[in-house]
Amino acid sequence: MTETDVAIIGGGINGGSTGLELAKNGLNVTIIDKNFICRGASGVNAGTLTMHMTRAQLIPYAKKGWELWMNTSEWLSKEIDVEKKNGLCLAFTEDEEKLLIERSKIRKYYGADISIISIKEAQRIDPNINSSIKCAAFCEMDGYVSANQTGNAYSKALKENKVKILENYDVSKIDYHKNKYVIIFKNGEKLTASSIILATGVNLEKTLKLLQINIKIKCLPQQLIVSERMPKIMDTVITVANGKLSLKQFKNGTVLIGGGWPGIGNIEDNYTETKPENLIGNMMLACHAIPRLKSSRVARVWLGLEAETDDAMPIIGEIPNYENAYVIGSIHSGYTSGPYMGKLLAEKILGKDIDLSLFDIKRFL
Amino acid sequence: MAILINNRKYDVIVIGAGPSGVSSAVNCAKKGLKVLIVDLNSNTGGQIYRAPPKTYKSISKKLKENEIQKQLSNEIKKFKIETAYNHTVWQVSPGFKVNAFNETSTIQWQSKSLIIATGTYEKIIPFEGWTIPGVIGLAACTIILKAHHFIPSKKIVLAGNGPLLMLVAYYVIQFGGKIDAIVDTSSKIDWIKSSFSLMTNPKNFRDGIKWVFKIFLNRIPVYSNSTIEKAFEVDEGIKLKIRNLKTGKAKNIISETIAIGHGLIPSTDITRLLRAEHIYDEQKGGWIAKVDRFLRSSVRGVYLAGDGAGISGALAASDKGLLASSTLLYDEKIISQKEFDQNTYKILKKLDKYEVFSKAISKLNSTPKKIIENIDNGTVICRCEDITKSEILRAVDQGARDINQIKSWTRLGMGPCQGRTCQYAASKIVAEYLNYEIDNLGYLTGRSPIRPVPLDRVLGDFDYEKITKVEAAPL
Amino acid sequence: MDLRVSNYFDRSKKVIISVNNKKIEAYEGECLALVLFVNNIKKLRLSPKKKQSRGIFCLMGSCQECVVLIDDKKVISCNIFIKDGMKIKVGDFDK
Ligand SMILES: Cc1cc2nc3c(=O)[nH]c(=O)nc-3n(C[C@H](O)[C@H](O)[C@H](O)COP(=O)(O)OP(=O)(O)OC[C@H]3O[C@@H](n4cnc5c(N)ncnc54)[C@H](O)[C@@H]3O)c2cc1C
Repeated sequence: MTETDVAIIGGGINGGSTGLELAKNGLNVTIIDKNFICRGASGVNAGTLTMHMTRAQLIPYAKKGWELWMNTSEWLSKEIDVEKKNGLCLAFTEDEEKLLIERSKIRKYYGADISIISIKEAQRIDPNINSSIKCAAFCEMDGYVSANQTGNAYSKALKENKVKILENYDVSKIDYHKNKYVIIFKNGEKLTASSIILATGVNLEKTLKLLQINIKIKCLPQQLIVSERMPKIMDTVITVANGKLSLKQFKNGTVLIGGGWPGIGNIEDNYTETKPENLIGNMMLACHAIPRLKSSRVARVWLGLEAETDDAMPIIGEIPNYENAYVIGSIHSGYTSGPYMGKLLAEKILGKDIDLSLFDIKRFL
Repeated sequence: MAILINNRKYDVIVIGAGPSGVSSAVNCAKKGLKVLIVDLNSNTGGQIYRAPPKTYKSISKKLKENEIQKQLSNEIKKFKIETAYNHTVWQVSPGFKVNAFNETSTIQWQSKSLIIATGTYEKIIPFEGWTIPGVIGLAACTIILKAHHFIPSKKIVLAGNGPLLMLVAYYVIQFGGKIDAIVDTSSKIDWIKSSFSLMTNPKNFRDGIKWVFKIFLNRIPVYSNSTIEKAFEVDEGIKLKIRNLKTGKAKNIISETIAIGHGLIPSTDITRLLRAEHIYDEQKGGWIAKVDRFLRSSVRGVYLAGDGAGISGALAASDKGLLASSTLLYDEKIISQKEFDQNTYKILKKLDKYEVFSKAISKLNSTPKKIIENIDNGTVICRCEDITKSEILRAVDQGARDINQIKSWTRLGMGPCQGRTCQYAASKIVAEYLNYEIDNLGYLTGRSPIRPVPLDRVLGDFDYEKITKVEAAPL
Repeated sequence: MDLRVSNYFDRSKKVIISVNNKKIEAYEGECLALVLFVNNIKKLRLSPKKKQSRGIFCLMGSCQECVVLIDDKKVISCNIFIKDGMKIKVGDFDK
């Protein structure tokens, strides 16, 4: 039986970031994934790093996450494309204008440097947007990551920091005795760890059950649409007042349309299926925002499963009734803040005084 | 909503109007089922009996393929089967909903069962220079000749392997073109060995003899055991470096068009979208939808006709269509066990016979290890995204271990063709490199749209008010 | 040498199309990809990263290599049939 200081179950952005920070601080870390590293939400998400869609209370964390993303070469790897962009959040009707002003004000209160700007100013920032907007909210702190490269970047960085990666290892049982955790895998192998971190994303409900913790985690199947490569048709990250659109053009010319329009999917067999009427709503909204997009062709549609708690706030921190057991996940816009959240949890594990009370899992128990 | 929803529900939608699609549609229609047959081409025929453009007027009955195509169309008309030609299917979802676009809009149909008869596309093993305009598929060449009635250029080199080489050569000569060389990865002995099995199918065998005879009479240089190693653009056209795999000797040839193909790959776009089970069978063309003896896929209500569940060729196609549709009719309790047994007994026997034939063909079309090894590191493998062999191997060196992981790390297969052109070769390269069984690498997850779909055709003109209102995201 | 084979079919009427503003004769209903090819317009577009010229390849609507622009929209030319006055753009249209 092999042994490790820290076993992290789930190799997404949250497990990966926590593990990386712990390893950099000298701990012996093993990351276990039932699939490959970052092939869950963290490898298939839209990669938008925007404040316009972040839950207000999470803005301070998203800002820190954004800063980390902007210098990945220092802490992660060069293998991942990140680009800073201006962010424009658009309102097309008077109701939306009201909503946008109100929401931007609250986000600003939590620390996002968002300002309401006129149509003219918005068009100066990105001449490609629909000229029929009522107003826009502007934030310089925006951009994107090419999320498909997450797995490559993290696995490289983790390996360089001597993290052991077990891929295609599905956890079936966790035994706890004499302050040690024995993780038993479906293939019969075992791993002993002094401490464990559960970071299984949309599977957290199931994984927490292994420790007799019962909480509800919703599974949101989200659709994403990508165009084939196009000449430059936009220059900003575009979102809308109600938060149901994220739109940007990557350096390679493809345009990614997201915004959380649900498809069909379940955790059990990782099955996903598109909902054509929602694809169409999402596409219409995108083409309305950037009219030139309509001349393009859709190259691919895919889905990812996102985790959400009942109050749509994260669960991060200690797992009650266990020594040295932690959980991290269900973070709204979790890709943006993931690197920072992971770092925070790692620092807490390393003994620093970090306040994670906002995310305490006890609120559900 | 801009997608036109056709409220007619069909009992069966047959996707693909080649010989197997037509025979299954007819079989279902005969039993009174409401059938729709869909194809992106403008008529029946599929790839092998592809109809000429609508504007062409026939002046001769000498072209066998054309006569067969006409028969297929007549059958469809006779049984008043609804058709949707010129419609490209881009999405199929469980239930079943089939979405397709034509020149102006997209449409959605619904049906209880599906018969997938989407045939194959061509397997082409890359070599340095295969992306040069003027290098085309062998199957493409048959379509140019037999459906469109063009000779691609004054001079041509044919390369790859299998009977398609001979067939294309025959038609090029017949139509007045000039063949500079035939470059075949198989040896003459391979051909002789397989001829015994090929004889089990006398009709095709006779055709084969006719082709070979023509090649011989016209003294076309045939380079056996050989492959194209490199192609360069030169003023006169394309210069080829040909390598004999046995002796290692190289030779240069200059021509205008290069047509190359190494066999066929079953189309699995739709079965992968529907998350049907797939298995790897090299002899049948690589990844294929898993079917039982009666051509049921692992998804209830989905049947595979034709080459979709393994290459067995044109003659078997219509029988496979009959088998798949009879199974459907039986599952839907439209025909009795007895009728089903009667229908299928003969077909299964016939199909077993074809199997001997198609095995021999697939042997001739097998991919020599050497030509995979020979691929230069700088060669583009994924044409859509310009991903080279060395970029693929780099991802593997960094730890990528299945084809989807390679896809997300390199963008291989992320372009408009969705990996149809490169998946086979890329998997071969990686399997070779890692010394893995190729099926361990898995297959690319099916993603909609299976053909790039123009946004304007999906959306049409719309007002902002018409966009579905959704609940705002939590603040 | 005429690369059109006329032993089995009569083609329809002659029409004029334009490719990058250059006029070309073709027969109505012929396959665009082939009309371009036999007129020695083989380089239809550039590949995204290496900027290699690309042209017709599979002719079955699978490979997507033969994309050209008609009315500023991308279409696969192997599935387009000639109409009088058609305006086609080939070359580096993804810039
Ligand atoms: C379509 C989509 C678009 C999104 N867009 C954005 C965006 O634009 N910006 C943004 O900030 N956020 C976005 N998000 C949210 C973001 O992707 C997630 O918040 C974040 O990636 C979650 O990371 P995670 O590590 O918690 O989960 P995951 O990345 O899902 O990782 C969990 C890992 O655990 C593994 N696992 C599960 N069960 C087991 C087990 N029993 N044993 C071993 N391993 C197991 C899984 O295989 C997986 O690799 C989006 C999400 C989706 C789905």
